[in-house]
Amino acid sequence: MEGVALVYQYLIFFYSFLMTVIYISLAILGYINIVRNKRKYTEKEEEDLKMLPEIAPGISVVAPAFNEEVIIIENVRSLLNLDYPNFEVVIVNDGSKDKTLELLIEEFELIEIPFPYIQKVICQPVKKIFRSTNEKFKRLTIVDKENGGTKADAMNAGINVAKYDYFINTDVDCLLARDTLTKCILPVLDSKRRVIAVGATMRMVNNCEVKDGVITRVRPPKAFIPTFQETEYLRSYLLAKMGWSMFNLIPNVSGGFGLFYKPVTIDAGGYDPLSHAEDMDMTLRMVANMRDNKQKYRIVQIPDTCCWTEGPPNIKVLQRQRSRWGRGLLQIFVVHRKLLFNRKYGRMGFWVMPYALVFEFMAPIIEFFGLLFMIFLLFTNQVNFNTFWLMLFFVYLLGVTISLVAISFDILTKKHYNSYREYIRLVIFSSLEAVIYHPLIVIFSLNGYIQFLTRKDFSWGAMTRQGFKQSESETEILTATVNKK
Amino acid sequence: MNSIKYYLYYFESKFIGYPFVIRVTLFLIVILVLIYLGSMVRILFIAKKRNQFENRKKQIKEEYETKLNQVLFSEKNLSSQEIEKQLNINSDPIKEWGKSYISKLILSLINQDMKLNVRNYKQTLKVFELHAYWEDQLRNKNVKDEGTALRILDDMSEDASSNAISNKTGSQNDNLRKHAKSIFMKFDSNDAFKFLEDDFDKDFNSLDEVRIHDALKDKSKSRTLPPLIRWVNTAKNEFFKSFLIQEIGYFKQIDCAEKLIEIFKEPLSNNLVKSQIAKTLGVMDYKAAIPHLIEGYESNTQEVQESVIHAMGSLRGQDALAFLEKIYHETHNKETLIKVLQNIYLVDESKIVFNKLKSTSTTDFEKSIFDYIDQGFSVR
Repeated sequence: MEGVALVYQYLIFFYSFLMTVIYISLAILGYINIVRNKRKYTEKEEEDLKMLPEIAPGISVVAPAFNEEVIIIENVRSLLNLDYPNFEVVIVNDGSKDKTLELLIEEFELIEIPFPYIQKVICQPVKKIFRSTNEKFKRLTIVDKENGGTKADAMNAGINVAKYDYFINTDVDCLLARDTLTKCILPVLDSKRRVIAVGATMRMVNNCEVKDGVITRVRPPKAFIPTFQETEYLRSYLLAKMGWSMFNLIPNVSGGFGLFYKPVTIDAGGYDPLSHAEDMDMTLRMVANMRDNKQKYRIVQIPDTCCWTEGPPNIKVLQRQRSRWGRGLLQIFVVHRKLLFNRKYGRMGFWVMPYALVFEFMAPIIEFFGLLFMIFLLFTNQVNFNTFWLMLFFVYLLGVTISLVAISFDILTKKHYNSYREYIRLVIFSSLEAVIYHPLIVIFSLNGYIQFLTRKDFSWGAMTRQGFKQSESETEILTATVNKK
Repeated sequence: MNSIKYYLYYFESKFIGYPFVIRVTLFLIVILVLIYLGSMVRILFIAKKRNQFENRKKQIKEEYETKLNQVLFSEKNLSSQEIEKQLNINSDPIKEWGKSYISKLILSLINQDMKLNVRNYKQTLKVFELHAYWEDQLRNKNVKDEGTALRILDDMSEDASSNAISNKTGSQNDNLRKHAKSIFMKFDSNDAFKFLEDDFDKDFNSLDEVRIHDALKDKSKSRTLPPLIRWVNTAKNEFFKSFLIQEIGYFKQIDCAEKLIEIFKEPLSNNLVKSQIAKTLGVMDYKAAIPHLIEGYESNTQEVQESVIHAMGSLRGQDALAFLEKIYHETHNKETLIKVLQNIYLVDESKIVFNKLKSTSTTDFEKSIFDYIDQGFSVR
């Protein structure tokens, strides 16, 4: 028993050591990538592209909507105001039971059109397609379909209707920066290899000032949960993914925002409606498709914040979100197990998938059993408290340091908040994350794994919409509780 | 000093006495603490630099914005002495760091929707010696400064020395090298197109297409461009070849059309190139190409076929219409079917063929295409 305990402790230490080395390496690589990105792509490149519509590639912005009457108009207006010469906006009304469709029809002067619909990827039947009679809204297409139960199904309908070779996958509750499309397409153009996906940084829209669908003032969230999540996102995008991107090792382009190359998405079969992590599932299938067809590819991450999304305002909503992510992650390893340690799938199979298995999927399990083991050692008086406090400090310092590095990368990329005091808020919260937020993430992730294994009937859960906080001249704040199925 | 040495030896002996795991942990803790402190310092440094930048920008703007507006948008042509006097340069010469801010201020002002006095603008650049400053920055050996200098010189668009820029066309940095080559094309008056030999660059990509297109557009404003077919013939990179063919269409170099048809008919021609040739012949409205495009249609890939269909829509005429009608009946691919009908609608001025096909359509899908096009919702 003593031997087992010793081996277990050494394994945990080795695990933490590896994690530290990996994160420090990612931080260094991420920094180099951010600096390189800033030097290559400036406002001049964006302006030059916008001035040459005859050569700028077309992009379709596809956003599914289910019961989004609270925010749909503002969001669509925001999307139509993107600053790019060749784009269209495709909103997929996924069988909404509220007034989402009616509001769209009225606001944007839509009529039903005869559309030769081709089902390139499978989805629930499309009922109607609408376009506007007003020239101002000529870029807008609305797809009305039967509810498919998941965002993936709705995205597939959007892909079937999208006319351009590149499409943005985003959510209707997300606000995109006006220069999003130029920022995302530049690395696609600046590559000899086919870029099949581009990811960007997402952050929380909670507590930001929004006027007519445009963010006029960026602030860190007020509530606890979204504030923690803001730093968590910065770590994920600016540190981890920017680092992975240096070696074309990005495991996942977020479902909240990403640019994708449509022909490869279609060849890979589109989004899987049965997946709980349709974003990672899609990314892996696209990679597998390219590898199976022996085609070179790249997946790129840009450091710019292009998308603001509403963060979970309370623990209940956070639980739903993280349980779903947990189910999705476990499902990924079940469905895509052929990629694991498979040299045929190159770096994705041999490095990224094993990394995700050990350091992302296993992490909550290891932490949970580590805690149980710790309690056992306490009860059997086997704890060397000097070592215990040293190790605890080491692990705590790792989290806090990585968070601070991510925040510094965010400031390096662009100063989003007006005041540096607002960044101090993120720094303070990152020092409390290990005690308040992280345990919740571990519990909810494990809950997700258990749910998947016990195969309960799942629903996406309710997302409490706060609406966007208006700028000071407009004081109305809308609140609605919407059930997503 | 001795006490520091004493403590260093003390900690070293303590450290060596610990188990391996503890030593590794302590080492990692030290690394993390250093990274943490380094990040803090970095944040403070970035904040300080940004504040300095904003303050300097504000200072330059307050001092020069109004005066520059008066000079740049004056209806009267001013001499350099008058501009110096108006900008108060002799009594208060601008510092070196100020030239960067002045350049950006001038570039932001000239983008306003007002009539720029080009002569005054050129004189203003001379008075501040901005070209010399940025050409000097190009010799900086700092990639970031060199990149900024190239962009500013490109935006200034006047009298930049192609010699200064040509030094960067051999840079090891891919982005800098290619950017310099495209700017060289814009400014050089002697051998501007030399980089179109040898496929422009070994790392040629679509972003270079944007830059070269911009340079060619700029060049074409002063004189007609040379026939780009010359470089199509020598190009080995198929993407570059295809791009040049696209540019031939954009600049309507009709004289290149016959040569393009020859390339199109070559059995070993790349599909990307053939596809682009078809599109370009359509853009140039070169009707003599119709029989040649039709001739090889059956044996070509879908990509080339769709380009031929698209070209027919631009070329028009009875032959094109007859061809489109024929392939309408032979096409199984739904997306191609939509494209065929879109182009039939364009070519068929009297809509006789279109309406005939519409009346004989059998499937709901085909009917929806006809309605979609007929009611004006389709964009080719």
